[in-house]
Amino acid sequence: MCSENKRFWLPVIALLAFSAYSAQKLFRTHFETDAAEPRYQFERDVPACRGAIYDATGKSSALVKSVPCWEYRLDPVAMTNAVVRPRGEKIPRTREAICRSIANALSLDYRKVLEMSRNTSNRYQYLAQSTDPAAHKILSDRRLVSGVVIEDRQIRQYFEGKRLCHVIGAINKEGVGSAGIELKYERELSGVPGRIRGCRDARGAEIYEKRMETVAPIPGADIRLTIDRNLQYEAETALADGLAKYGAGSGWCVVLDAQTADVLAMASLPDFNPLFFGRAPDASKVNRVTNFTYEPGSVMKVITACAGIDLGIVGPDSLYTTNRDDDRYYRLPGDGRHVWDPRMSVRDALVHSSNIVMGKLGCDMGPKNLWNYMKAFGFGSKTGVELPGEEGGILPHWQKWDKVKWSRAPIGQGISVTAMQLASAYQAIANDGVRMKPHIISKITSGDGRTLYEAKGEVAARPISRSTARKVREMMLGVASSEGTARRAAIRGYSVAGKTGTAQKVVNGKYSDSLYRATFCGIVPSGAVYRNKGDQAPAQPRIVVLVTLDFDHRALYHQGGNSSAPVFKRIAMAALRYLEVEPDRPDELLDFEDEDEFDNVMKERTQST
Amino acid sequence: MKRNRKVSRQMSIVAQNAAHVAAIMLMLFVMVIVNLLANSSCSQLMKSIGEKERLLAKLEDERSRESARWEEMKTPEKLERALTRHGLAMRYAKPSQIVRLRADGTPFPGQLSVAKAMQRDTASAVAMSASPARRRVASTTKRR
Repeated sequence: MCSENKRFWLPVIALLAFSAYSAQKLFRTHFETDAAEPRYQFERDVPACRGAIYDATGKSSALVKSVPCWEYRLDPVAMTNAVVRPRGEKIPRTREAICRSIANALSLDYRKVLEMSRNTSNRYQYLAQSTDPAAHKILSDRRLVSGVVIEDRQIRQYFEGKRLCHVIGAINKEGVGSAGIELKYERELSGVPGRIRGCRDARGAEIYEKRMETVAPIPGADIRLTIDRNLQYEAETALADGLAKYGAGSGWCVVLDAQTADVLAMASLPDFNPLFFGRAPDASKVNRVTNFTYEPGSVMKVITACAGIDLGIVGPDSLYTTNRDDDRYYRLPGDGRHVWDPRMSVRDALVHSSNIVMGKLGCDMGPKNLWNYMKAFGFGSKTGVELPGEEGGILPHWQKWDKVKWSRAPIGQGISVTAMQLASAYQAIANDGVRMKPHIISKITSGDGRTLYEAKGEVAARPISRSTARKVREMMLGVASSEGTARRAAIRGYSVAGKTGTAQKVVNGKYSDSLYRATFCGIVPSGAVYRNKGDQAPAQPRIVVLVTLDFDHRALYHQGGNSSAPVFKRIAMAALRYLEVEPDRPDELLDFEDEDEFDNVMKERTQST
Repeated sequence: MKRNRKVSRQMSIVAQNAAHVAAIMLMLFVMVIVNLLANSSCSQLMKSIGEKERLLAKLEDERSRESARWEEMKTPEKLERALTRHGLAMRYAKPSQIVRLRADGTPFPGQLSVAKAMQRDTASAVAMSASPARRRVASTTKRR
């Protein structure tokens, strides 16, 4: 019985298995052929969301972000063919009515839209990109509007508008970075696009159930800057007001953290709108803080003084004669009317910005020593800040210096530097002789949350000793006092160590008598004043601020002390208050009721001296 | 008799086999039905997953757009404009308005705000001690 059953069941099972297998094979081939039909199959890339750029406060405040939006295009042919009737009405909507709806929804000019709708030879004309859901609702309602093609896109939204444009940069129409951080970190920001392989129906819409492959895109990395948007706002506003007030054609400023060399604010005017980067004039695209070199002028005297003191050739109170006809020196530079003492200390030479004394000091130390110190302060080479197109400046080798240059380089002529290099050199003085590498990127985080890069304090060089730095800071205190060239840089309650520079511009190969670049670079608090009696060390410097105004026509207040110093003061005051820096001269705050009273007293003191 | 027994036995085998075939057919039919049902339910599930995915993407886009709208409203320039519009004169705190305290509640030494408060106290004490008339006025005001 058992063997009989087996004889029956075995062929039946074998038959069933064979039929199941062949059916499967048959249907599989059939479905595969069906699926392989190129008309229904498609494969497309899914663009990755471009990474965002945040300010120093982190995730809470984005400066730039990619936002999903709708791109609207007008197809006049589709508009003509469609007979659209509003709900409950029998008359189709006229072309004019449709165009008015489109114009209203997208805030466009009605006449322009109407004109576009009549141009039937040109299909898919660009209307606008918008993130407004209300506009999308109207334009996707077929009862109201016809002939509008809607595509899902991503728009790069620059929340600060023109502010910080030189740092952030811009992207081109293909979504590729073309300036600033957007260009420098293109690889990190762009991410990896995904892929979708699937089928679509006769109308071209995707059949989601028949999707064959989905590779999710990897979003771009997020970048956190060291720049604080509030400080940036204050700096840019002060700079723009300064330009308007003193009649300068362009200007730039940078605020560095005195200890870490983090860039807290960076502004360059004229600026551009990142959304219309291609249309902006070339002059406005230049980041003048890092990508523009110029003769610094008297702000370099601080470097000369540092070199002289660090070498031990002079001390702050070493005396020099202000006699120009000294046989020991060859073709000394002249001094302005503001220098009148027959004998002058190095300290006073800095306070009054004496070209003769500094020229003599430069000649005394020799070109090799001065050149070495300038190199150690970072001149003639890039600072390494994370921005594209940084210039290294021009600092010819000392062996190529002629005798005129011996006395000109110490006062900032015959060399060219960037504002970032100057600010970095002053940061070294503020940080007791340790020059840190300037940073503008604080952190880079990948789309999945991994930290790709984190800035760590990096020592670039140690050009001078701690004691030299302290001595020079103490000497620089006089500049922003009633006796110095930058009385208007003095801040009530805080000591300011700074230096002015009024550099003549070179026009047709000659120094111009009417065109100048006015600079003020200062350290606040100076780090040379003890906050309270009995303190072990002076109050630590907190910020370094550099301001330069570039005059392209004759101006009344073209000196660094008259034009750049007030701008410096405004930026520094805002920064000190924002960063909650405790005053190192609290007596001044007790003595003077407000800033105006303080300014008036300083003015009176200057007039009396 | 023997022959009849053989026939009846064969008949019973055929009947038994027919029952088996019927059972197999029934089983196949049930399997087909189950397969169809499962397929249909899977399709439905796939459809609903697709819909949910699309909804999720839509909501994600909406959230992104909304957060961008908020970001735009929070820029310092816009905040400044809003403050001006509403007549609010808000500024960062002055150094004399900031008091830093230790964990035990005592202020850190050398603070401007503390110095200013002490200066005020000293001034008022001096004023009080200097003029008895004022002191009287002050005490009357206090009583009120």
